[in-house]
Amino acid sequence: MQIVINALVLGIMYILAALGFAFIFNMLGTINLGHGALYMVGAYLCYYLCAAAGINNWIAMIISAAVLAVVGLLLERVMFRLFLDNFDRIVMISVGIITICQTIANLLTGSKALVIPSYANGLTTIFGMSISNERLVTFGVGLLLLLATLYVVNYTALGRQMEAVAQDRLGAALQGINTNRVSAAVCAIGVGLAAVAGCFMGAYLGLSSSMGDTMNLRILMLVMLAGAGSMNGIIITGTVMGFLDAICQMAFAGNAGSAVPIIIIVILLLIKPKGFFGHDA
Amino acid sequence: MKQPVLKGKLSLLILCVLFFVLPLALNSRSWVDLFITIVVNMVGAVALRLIVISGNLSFAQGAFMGVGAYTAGMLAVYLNVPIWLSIPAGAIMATIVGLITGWPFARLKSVYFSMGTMFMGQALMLMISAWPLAGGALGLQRIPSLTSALSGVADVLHLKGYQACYYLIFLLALFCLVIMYRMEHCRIGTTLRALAQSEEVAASIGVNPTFYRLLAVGTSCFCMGLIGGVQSHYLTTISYSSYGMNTTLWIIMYMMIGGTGKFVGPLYGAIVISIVQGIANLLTSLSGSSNNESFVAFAHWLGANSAYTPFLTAAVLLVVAYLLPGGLVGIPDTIRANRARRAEKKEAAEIAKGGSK
Amino acid sequence: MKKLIALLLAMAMVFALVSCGSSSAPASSGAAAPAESAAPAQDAAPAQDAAPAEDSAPAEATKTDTLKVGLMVHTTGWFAGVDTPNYNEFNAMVKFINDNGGWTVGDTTYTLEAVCVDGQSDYPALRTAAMSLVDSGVKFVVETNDFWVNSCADVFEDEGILHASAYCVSNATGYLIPENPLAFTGSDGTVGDYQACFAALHEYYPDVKSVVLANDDNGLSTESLDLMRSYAAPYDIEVLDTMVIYPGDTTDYSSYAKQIVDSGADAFMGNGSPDAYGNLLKAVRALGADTVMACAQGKPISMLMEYAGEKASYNGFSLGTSSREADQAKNPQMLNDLVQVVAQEYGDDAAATFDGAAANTLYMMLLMMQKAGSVEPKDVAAAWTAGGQVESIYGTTNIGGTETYGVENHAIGHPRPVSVMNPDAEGGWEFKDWIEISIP
Repeated sequence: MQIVINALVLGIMYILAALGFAFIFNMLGTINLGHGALYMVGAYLCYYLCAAAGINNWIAMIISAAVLAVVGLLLERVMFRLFLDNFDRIVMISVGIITICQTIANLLTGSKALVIPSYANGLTTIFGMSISNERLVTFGVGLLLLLATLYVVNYTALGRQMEAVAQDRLGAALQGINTNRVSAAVCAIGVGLAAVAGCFMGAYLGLSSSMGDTMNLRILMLVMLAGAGSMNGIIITGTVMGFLDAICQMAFAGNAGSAVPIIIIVILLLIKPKGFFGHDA
Repeated sequence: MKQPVLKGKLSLLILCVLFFVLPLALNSRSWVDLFITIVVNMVGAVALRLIVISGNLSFAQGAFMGVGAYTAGMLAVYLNVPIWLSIPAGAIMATIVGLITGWPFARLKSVYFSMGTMFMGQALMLMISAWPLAGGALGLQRIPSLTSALSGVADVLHLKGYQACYYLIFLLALFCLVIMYRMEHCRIGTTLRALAQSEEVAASIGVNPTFYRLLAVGTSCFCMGLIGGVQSHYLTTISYSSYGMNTTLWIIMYMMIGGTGKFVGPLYGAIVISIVQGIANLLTSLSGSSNNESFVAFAHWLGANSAYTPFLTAAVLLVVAYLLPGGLVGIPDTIRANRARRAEKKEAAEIAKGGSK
Repeated sequence: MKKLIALLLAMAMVFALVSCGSSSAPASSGAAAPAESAAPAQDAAPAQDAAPAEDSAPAEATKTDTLKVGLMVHTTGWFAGVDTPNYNEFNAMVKFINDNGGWTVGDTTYTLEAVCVDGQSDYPALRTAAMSLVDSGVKFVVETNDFWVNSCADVFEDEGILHASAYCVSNATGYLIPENPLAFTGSDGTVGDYQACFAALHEYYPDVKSVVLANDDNGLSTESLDLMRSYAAPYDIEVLDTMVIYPGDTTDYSSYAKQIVDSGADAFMGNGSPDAYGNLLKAVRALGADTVMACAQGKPISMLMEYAGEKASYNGFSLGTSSREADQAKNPQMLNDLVQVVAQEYGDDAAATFDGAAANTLYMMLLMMQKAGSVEPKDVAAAWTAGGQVESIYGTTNIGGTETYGVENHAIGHPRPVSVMNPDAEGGWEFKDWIEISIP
């Protein structure tokens, strides 16, 4: 029972972190390896707003998300738009960004414990299982953001434009959609969401320069498994990942506990080479 | 058309001679070690390029190097296998693992292939780290060292121990590079390029895509395993973390910075980035023999602030990504293209001027 | 044109960062230069005051010289966060010695010159770093961890360089072995950590009768269980067979917390990193359990509490020091002085997380130079191997380790501080007395 709760909460955390990545991947069809680094930057920014400037952590999170959204706009301008069909260049720039972000994080971290003040304290008991409020809040916000994203994608004009751009960029442009504006919006939202995820995980686990790497791998697995173009799919794959991790952590000691889920994901990916819910794009 | 081929060969020859002579001339441990690093990185980058010319970007290169290194290391530690057997065994093991995993992965396309191989590489290394026999997360310790194995040869040739190590690694690397060069410049290379263009078309003229892809993956893994195996003896301690995502990403960077267009590209990439990454350590070593006080002070200052050196590497990456579409090796082409574009613009402007008259 | 602007932006970003970073840089490099001129012979007397150490130093030093001391540290890559204190404290130690007139060995007063190299958290790069230290003419090298340096110990042995690791994560990593006669360690490492931990558990949590070992997948193998049991035996504490081992890249500690609670142990112990242990404590408390946390690491308890959160911070201790003014009376004077230098050079945060392993390793080397009356690595090694008792920054220190490591007198045993969580105390924790440790 405790495992189920763990798995669900963990699943939502992964989904929260993966939302922004999936957004960019689905709409622009390209992989942003720097997502983990941006997620880390969001968390660090939030921490410094809280610790140095003394701002309330919720407000700090919103500011951090807003700043990162601007960074997203900038990235779209200097990276995605220039090299949309050139994966090599994007990987190079991503690695450049990761290197810069991690080096700064290393310099800032020093020997201090960096933890964003908790968003909620205390425990709640559900069905006789105790669970920390912090995780419940993360769960709630994750769910809320997920629903909001799904709403935007499925029921708004912007969402329909995104879908059109994702399916056929040129065709969408011919229909009078400003494709650049749409991809800019996608990047801003995607990177902003990364920051939100970073803030929650920064409060839950603390900050480190490698927090992005750890999450990046999980995000990639989750999104690849769902497949390109499927926002709905990541709900399921995210939950699956949560269960895989929670169960394997109980069943295997040490690093095997994180190796086994990866192997299972690889096998699943080999069965369905384009993900389980994606369209053939 | 003939000229570039000749030029490519000439630069290869010059590189080869330089890498043979310089370590002998530079009588210093850290220079020789830098050359070893460069040579290892070169093989990594070129081996990756062999897969890349067939249209797929593999993210598991580091892991195959790790398989070779761990196989060689464990054989030597537990079974006392001599190095001249354990290193090839590492290469063979890496090839086997590469072929076994490469076969199902041939189904994956583009991004899915890249990410799938990335997960697999990560899983492989995590499994090794979870294996107590392989030393667990602390890594495999006390592998018989290459220096002592080569001490007899070194004495005969009047070389220092570390120079003997270098020449063994250099010869193995040269062997790998020659194989890959030959492969690329015969029919196999052409076929691989055709596969990158269109697998369907290639298949329709009777080419078996899976066979050729596996051939590329197998050769690539063999080279990675060989160089990993010899590296494990050189380092005497290896850890799974040295063969994880980071290493793989940097191997990809060596290749991309050099440029994937030509065989020599990854070689240049490996040279440039290895030097930039090791610049602080290199200056520290030079400070030992220098009498120039300000240089020594600078070297020590750089050593004390080496936490900032990744910014340099990142700067190189960004410069190449934005300004040099063909990588380092494409610089002449880039300049030519820029000149042509400028000339065209000028011409267009002149025509426009003429039109308005 | 667009590309050019994009590039300019990126470059501007990089250089802005580099330049804002380097504003703090000259502190470490500047340390050597002024000290060089400020080390005339007559300063030798204060040097002896500052070093509360030794008798064997001669009364008068007539010559001056520079002595290069090397530090192999990971300032980039994944290990950088762990190694930052080592870097800070080593350089603070060098500055401390130089500011007090240098270090007198025989008839010469030496000004120390720190040569730092970056191992980039990677074995091949570490080996390169080791070689550049060799080429830079260093004869004494401090490294930070035994398992790292294993990849280049042979280089130092070949070149006759004395190398000592600041920390030994295990007695079986193959670093302190007869084949490495010039390898030493300048703190009591994991072995000392666990001994101190059991002693502290007995002292401050006498109700604890069983302990489950919890660790990241790094160093603690099933074989070390026997060693643990031998440390626990005098206090009548049972060490459970089950171990909780979590991967290095854990994103959720709940499952591991559940394993700890399910094991039924009264306490969990291990030398995981502060973030891991803080999070583990938080997750254990989230399950509603009051299990005692025994963190076998020299990291300050305040750091752990930061990760665990206020609500979870009770029933736990670590082996961290304290730089609080009220606690300073309990510390050796030298440690307090050194903490002050760290605070000056690297800020109060760095001082609050003082650990001292790398600084103490350097200090041990310096003491042994005085004892040997020579700065030849071989003589210094012989002086160290001869054993005995010295005053290190941690207080009275016994050279030993013959039984533990299987090589004669290459390690040291020194007192360990204990910080205990106490929600009623100031700051939520109190600083207890140091615990005597001997490494047999």
